[in-house]
Amino acid sequence: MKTIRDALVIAWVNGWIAAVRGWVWVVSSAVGPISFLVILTVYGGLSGLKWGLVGGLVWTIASNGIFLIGDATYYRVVIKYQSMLTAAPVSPVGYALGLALSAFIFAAPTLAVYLTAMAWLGMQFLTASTLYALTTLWLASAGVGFTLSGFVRHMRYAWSLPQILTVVFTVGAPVYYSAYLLPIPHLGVLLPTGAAGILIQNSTGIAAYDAGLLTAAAAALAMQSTLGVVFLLKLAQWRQR
Amino acid sequence: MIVCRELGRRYGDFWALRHVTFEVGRGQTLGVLGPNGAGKTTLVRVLTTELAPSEGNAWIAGYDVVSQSEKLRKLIAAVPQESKPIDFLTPYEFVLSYLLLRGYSLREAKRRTADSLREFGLWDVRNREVDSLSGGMKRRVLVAAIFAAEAEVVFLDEPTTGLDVYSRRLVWNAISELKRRGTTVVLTTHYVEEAAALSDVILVMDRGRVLDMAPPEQLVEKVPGRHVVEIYGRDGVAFVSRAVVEIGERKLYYVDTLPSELPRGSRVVVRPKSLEDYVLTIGGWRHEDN
Repeated sequence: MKTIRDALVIAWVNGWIAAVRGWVWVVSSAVGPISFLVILTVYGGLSGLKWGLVGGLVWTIASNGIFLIGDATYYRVVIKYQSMLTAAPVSPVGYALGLALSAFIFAAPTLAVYLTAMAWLGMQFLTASTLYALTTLWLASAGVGFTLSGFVRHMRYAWSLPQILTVVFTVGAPVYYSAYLLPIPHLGVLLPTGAAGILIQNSTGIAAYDAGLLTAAAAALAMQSTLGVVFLLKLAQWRQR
Repeated sequence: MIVCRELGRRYGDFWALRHVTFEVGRGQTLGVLGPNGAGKTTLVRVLTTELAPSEGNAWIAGYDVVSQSEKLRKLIAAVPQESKPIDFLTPYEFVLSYLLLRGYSLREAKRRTADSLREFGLWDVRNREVDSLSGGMKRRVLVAAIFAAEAEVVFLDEPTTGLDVYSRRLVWNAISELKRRGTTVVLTTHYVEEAAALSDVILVMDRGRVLDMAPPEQLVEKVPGRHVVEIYGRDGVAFVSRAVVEIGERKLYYVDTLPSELPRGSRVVVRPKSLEDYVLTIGGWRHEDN
């Protein structure tokens, strides 16, 4: 119970207050996927718009999770907030989950815009497959962000690394294009963004994948999100060895 | 309240802390004094359960800092070295969230937040973002949060570094108030006068080791002589003294009786010996640039 309470307090601080007061960061995190959306719409019309919306959905969730590297490193290295919480009855798991939840809060306004647009276009997104993909993608990307933050020693890397990773995760995986364009379509499930993209593309009807690839994507996401949570909980130990 | 036995911490081949052994009673203020790199912060990080020791043991309120850290964390609070409050929060939000994280109910946390912000002269700026506050106010926000938590043992790692004289004294007042409440305080500092003014007992450290430990007045007693004649410039005079410390062109003579004549043409200060003289005369305290 205390762990959940800790997570909610951290999410209030690092998610809600940060997003309300630093709304420009919310906008800046939306700019990348929106620029792709515009280009795809210009060149691909309605079909491009749909691909841009699905890709933007995946990008927004993934990038906000990966950008936890910046927040977690800032709290640990720069302002020593993590050290202050270490010397207090604060659950490290609650702290990690709170940061993950704050990433979701940060993504929420952008997600709302995408989902509204998808509803307006009549795209099916309230499916079990899509919700599963988005939830597991959030856990996997937050796990990646929190895990990597533990290895970052200087703030200058904490802002640049997420930008590189976000591009690798969203352009290097079939998020904005069909997995069938890859030499081996199953390669698309290696990154959680690709696996989530495959499930959502299929669910919204912009691509049709065979059952084997969909099963592989679902299984990969289950494994990646489990690994993300395991690493998040394992690394969420206050004491340094 | 705090017991350390042969505590050590190693980074590779480098021992940041070695053979540290001491005890501090409940309600005492321990001043940990030493130059940069003395091991003060490493000691605090081990005691606040953030860093595992490489050797030895430490207990706080009877709890082992390694094996019973979860129980211990309910009793302690810390302002880490160079820490800052989260810049986009207001002082009110920062203190309130810290108290909520410590497990206080919302109602109690609000009451304590208001009381603590008033105590530290932060009530008028409670709704301003921390980012817009002065450095001294930011530090006071941190101390206000710790103060409101009413922990049994409080660690303050160089809490006054970089503060102006007013803000520094507000922090000193807070430490005095913590003492009055019966809180055990561990205060690390490299300001000798601060350690002397606030500590019941001082742990002198250098190069990761304990050089001495005693109440400040006992440490001062170890300084030879009764007075200090401090001369800057080429004086050409040699006093009969119990000890001499030379720092560039500055000479400090530790004398039993004041000289009848002082050299002309030099800046001369005659003063009683202090804890600073203890630090200067022990000789084990290296200069930071050495």
